Amino acid sequence: MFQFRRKHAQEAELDITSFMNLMIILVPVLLMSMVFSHITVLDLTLPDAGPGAAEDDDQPKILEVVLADDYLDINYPAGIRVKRIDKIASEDDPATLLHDYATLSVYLQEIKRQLKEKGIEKRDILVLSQPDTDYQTIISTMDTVRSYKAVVVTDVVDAELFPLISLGDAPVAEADTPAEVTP
Amino acid sequence: MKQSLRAKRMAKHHKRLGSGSKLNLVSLMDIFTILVFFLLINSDDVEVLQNNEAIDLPKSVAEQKPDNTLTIMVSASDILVNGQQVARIADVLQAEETDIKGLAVELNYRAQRAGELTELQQQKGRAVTIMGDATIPYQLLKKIMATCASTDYRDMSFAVSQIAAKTDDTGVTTEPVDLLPQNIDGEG
Repeated sequence: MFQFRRKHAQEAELDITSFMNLMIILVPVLLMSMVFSHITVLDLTLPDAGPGAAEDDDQPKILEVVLADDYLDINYPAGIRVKRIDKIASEDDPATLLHDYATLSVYLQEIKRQLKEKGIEKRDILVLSQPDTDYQTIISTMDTVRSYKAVVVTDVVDAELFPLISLGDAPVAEADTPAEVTP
Repeated sequence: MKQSLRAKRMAKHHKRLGSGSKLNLVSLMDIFTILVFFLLINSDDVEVLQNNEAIDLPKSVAEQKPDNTLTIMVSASDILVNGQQVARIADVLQAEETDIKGLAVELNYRAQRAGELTELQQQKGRAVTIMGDATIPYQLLKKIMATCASTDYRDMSFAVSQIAAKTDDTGVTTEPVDLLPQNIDGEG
């Protein structure tokens, strides 16, 4: 009788050895397969007839962003400058100058809005670069012109700007372009 | 067997202590369970593109997942198609013509091997992903794009390394007024 009662008093033990084995295998396997740098892609839209194709009059007007060494230009329609955005000093290091993508985004948002008011639904844009413009600059510009972060109620969403991006050469002779269009 | 009272008491004492000194695995199990779920959720997307040590991809906030397409890698010294070297950067930059001969040959060969185009491909062209180093000049990129376009690989995308998008307060900046020239009259 005494023996019987002793057995009951002992705590019931769960045998978790096999579960532990599984975990010990699973954790390193998953850790190894974990990706720390995600690779994504940016789509590119080619101009229909290659760069430098003749623009007919019945073609829609082209919105351009010109990447120069020390400024960004917004042209609309092609060749007529709407706004020149100068470089700004970097926040980390005031000696280095960076392109002002934030301002570019603000102006493009405004252009998108004004075009919408005129009933033009524009989604395409042409990014014109110099031969020595580096890839990162082009990608950053593409990021900027593609979309912007808008706050809807409490959520941050990607609002569309001009997602159909084409690349092209910047015009060489910048000096004789028409003067800035002022309101 | 006859035991002394003391021996009995000591045996009982040892038994009691022994049962209490088992390894306590509960907290370890908790950690493992949480870790396994975390890793399972995080590893749902499989890496399609293999990044190369030699290529430092440009950073972008793009979120589009890559498709499994032909990949052109552009490192600081070479151009590779699916891991096979087709041209050297130094030669390409010196050459006058807009096309890259080695790349064009390789792309044509691969287009032949791939066979007939589907309807969607005829419209958009064959798909290709360009993985370029962040420092390559536009000049080089243009030649690669021109070569791809001329060999009917017109559906291009650029591989980028994703960074977290910073939520900028663009609304705060002063609103520019009336940017557009007045003479824009509808879609002309």
